[in-house]
Amino acid sequence: MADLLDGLAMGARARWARVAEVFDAAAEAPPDERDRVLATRCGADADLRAEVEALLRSLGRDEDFLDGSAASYAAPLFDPAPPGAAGAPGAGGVSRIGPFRILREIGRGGMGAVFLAERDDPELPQRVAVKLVHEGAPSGQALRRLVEERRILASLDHPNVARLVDGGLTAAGEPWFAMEYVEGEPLDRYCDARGLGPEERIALFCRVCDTVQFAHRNLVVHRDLKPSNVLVTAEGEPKLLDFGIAKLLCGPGVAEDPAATGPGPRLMTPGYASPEQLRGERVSTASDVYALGVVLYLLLTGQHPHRPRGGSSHELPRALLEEQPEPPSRCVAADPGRAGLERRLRGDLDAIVLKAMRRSPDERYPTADRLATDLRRCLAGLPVSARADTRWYRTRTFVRRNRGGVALAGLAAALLLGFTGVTAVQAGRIAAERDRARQVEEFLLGLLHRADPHRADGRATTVRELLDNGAAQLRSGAPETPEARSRLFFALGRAYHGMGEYDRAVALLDSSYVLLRGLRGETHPETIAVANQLADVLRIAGRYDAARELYGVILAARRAEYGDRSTEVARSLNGLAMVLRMQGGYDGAEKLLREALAIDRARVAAEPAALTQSLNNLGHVMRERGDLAAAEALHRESLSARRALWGPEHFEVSVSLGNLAGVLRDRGEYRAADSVYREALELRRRLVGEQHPDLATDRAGYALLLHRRGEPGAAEPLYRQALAVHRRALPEGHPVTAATQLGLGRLLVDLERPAEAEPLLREALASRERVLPADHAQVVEARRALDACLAMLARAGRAGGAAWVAQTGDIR
Amino acid sequence: MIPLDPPAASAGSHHRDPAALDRLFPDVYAELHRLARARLRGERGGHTLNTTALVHEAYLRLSEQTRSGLSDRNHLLALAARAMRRVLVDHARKHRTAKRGGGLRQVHLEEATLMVEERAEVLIALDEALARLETLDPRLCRVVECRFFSGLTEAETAEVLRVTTRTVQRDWTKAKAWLYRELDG
Repeated sequence: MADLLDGLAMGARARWARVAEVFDAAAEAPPDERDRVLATRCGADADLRAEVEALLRSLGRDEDFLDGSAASYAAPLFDPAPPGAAGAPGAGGVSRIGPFRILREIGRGGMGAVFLAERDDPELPQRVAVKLVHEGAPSGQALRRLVEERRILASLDHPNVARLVDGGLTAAGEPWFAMEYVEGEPLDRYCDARGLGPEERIALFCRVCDTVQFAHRNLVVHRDLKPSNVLVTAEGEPKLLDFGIAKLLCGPGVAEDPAATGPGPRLMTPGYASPEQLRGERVSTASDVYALGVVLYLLLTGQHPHRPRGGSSHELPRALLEEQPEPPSRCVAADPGRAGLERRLRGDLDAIVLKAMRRSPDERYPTADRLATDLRRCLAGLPVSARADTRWYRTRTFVRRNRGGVALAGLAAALLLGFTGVTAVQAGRIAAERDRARQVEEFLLGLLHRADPHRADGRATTVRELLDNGAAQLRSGAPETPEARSRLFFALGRAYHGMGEYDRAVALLDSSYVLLRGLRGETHPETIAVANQLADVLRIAGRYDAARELYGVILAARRAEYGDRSTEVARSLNGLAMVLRMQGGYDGAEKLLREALAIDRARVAAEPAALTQSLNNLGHVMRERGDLAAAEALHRESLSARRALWGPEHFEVSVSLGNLAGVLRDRGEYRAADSVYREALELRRRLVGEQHPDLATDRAGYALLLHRRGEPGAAEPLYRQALAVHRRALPEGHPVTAATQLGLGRLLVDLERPAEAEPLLREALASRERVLPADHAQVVEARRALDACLAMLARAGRAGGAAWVAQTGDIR
Repeated sequence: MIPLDPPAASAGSHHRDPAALDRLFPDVYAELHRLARARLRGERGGHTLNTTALVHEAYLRLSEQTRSGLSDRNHLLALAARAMRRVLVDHARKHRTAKRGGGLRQVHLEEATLMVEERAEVLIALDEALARLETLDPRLCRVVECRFFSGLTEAETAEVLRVTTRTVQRDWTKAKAWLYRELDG
């Protein structure tokens, strides 16, 4: 008998071994290959195949309790006493609910009451908010679901979710829930009490969205989002209350299943419930998105989107179902004190709020996450998906984002700054002028509209094309008003300036200047503003005499108009000083810059950015005078001020980094210089792209560092890249090009390739001789380099072959 | 496939006296039961209970008692896993007995009571299914004890059972498939 049993057991084991083997193979095969695997392995053994398939099916079910922990699963078995054992339910006189002792009532509504309670255990003092619901006792089926739901909710572990601590039924069968007790203020009250601006409100709201998204990922829908369910702690942490409680109370199959007939209790707040909730239809994550939209509307405008307009509150649900709320910006438009807010809301925020609140769930944001993403993009000035359907819109966002000159080295920024700068002067003028401003606006935006920056391959190309189109149209006569034309010449000129296209910039700015001088007179502030821009470009383009003359005119006009201690005068002093510096007049340049620096330091509170310009320019001059310690200190101060002003990702920061790196290199601090150069190059590459002359200048500076520290081979390609860009982008004979030529020429001499160096060095010397006095240090420097090159060539010619190679040490 | 003798997979020749360790089983059981009661009662709903910590703690205390060396660690952990199963299942059985015996305080359809009853039944059914599985494939049973009852990771389970992680993964998948089918049927 024992043998027989053993035999049976052995047979079963052998059989199982077969099943296990086939199961392993099938379970590891991709689903679409399982059939093939099963067919191959099982052959004609239909029983074997059936058994393996049964096992595979049982894995496919969404059963998962074995993936949890046995102890957690069994934990309730160890509870000494089930909750809800004591205390009279419901109304007055309640002292205990479940394991909690009631301290006081903290709220009461139609569905029940909320109490502050404490766990009745001296070792585990835990404060909770207990919700007691006055509803009939749930049926057995509902109760089972309740238990399951409770389990899911209790596992919703997130720092911004008030956790469900416990729950059960009282002796009378009324459901109760204990939540983590949160001390805080409702979201709207919190924002109002602290006077938070729209940006801060949006940032806080985004965190609420993140939390809702977390719950949605865990398949929990809140169903009753409203400001009073979002408490903000004293530390500014949002905490979401009552997650999923509404569903627990509605019971399953009522709110979720459209086919369900029983009405069931609907726990929701009419002002925040989505249309589908009001209709008793299927509730989904989109319902929470809707409620989030209402909350956002309220946060931004201070008003409810469906506030009853004189009607009774009974009308609210009808309005919700039938009317589209008016855009938030229009909601605040009636209040003249909130014009700024209206402007901020108009456009993106209107679109975002309304998209979240669409009546059809399918038209809303699919997730809370997407809503938050759009809001964050809006804060960052990026295009938002709520308006992504129009190309026109994307173009506008592109322009607005670049208004600060951050991303594109002031390309489109320059364009728009030029435009807004001039229209700002216009604000408040008569209607006829406003029409002209509109002409300018239409022209510019029309240009941008035609050249969609999001479609082209390279940024620079696109903006370049856009500007070329604009300039061509402008030259051909549109628009007609001289004022509008002057403004557009100015705007386009600035844009070309930003791109490093200095010759075109000069031509356009000069047109603008000439037109405006005729219209307004030479010393009119608008004329002077244009003149200053023109003088800057003339200086950068290396046309120093013209620049110097114009700066002289501007400085005199500004001293008269704004006074000697004004920031306008300090700007002109900077411009003039830079011209003097380029022409070798270091004494004069330093004197002007120290005057400018004193003005800027006194006005730093009002004009923090201006100070960095004076610091920077004086840093250049001190470096060229050989005072490297002073130069380093000035560039460091400028760099940290710019970072504080604009953050790390800014064009001006990259300029300061390049300047500082150059000084560090000249001081022989190669290691520090190396890392600062790399940072500068990386930042510039991100901000302006490879083809910008400023990036090329930094690259040449880095090449010089490599050369000096004994890596000439690595330096050469950098120099050559830089030179190619400078030759293309800068006017012929530009001093920046000359400096790059000189650097590369010296490198080639050191590499014993004097024949290649000679034309470069000759060109560099000629460029410097043209603008600088013959005894200027920079001219002398270029001449010495050329002499050394020629001497090497002469020796090579005399000795022939490689004889001169041994003597190169002399010429270094 | 190497048949493994209960209660543990690690009864290798390098152990001084595995049988002596196995005689510790009642101690492991008692210790775990004591720890589990103390811990689980303190946890609301047990959601933050760390089973692994519990098993390791029991193991530490036992290894102090027995002065067993590191080489016995795997064997002791396998024992602890098995003991954990017994602790929890025994408790579920007691609960059912108490319930059937009547005299329970609550007559209401109490949420906690409902949950407890349901879970007690599931645990008992699982234990019975595991006993059947053990006759077919003892190692699968050990894997379930380590992973589900002891909360060990796949890598830890592999170490305790002296097999590869990949084998543990396959066994765990197979065991779950088999058990879900049994529990459902």
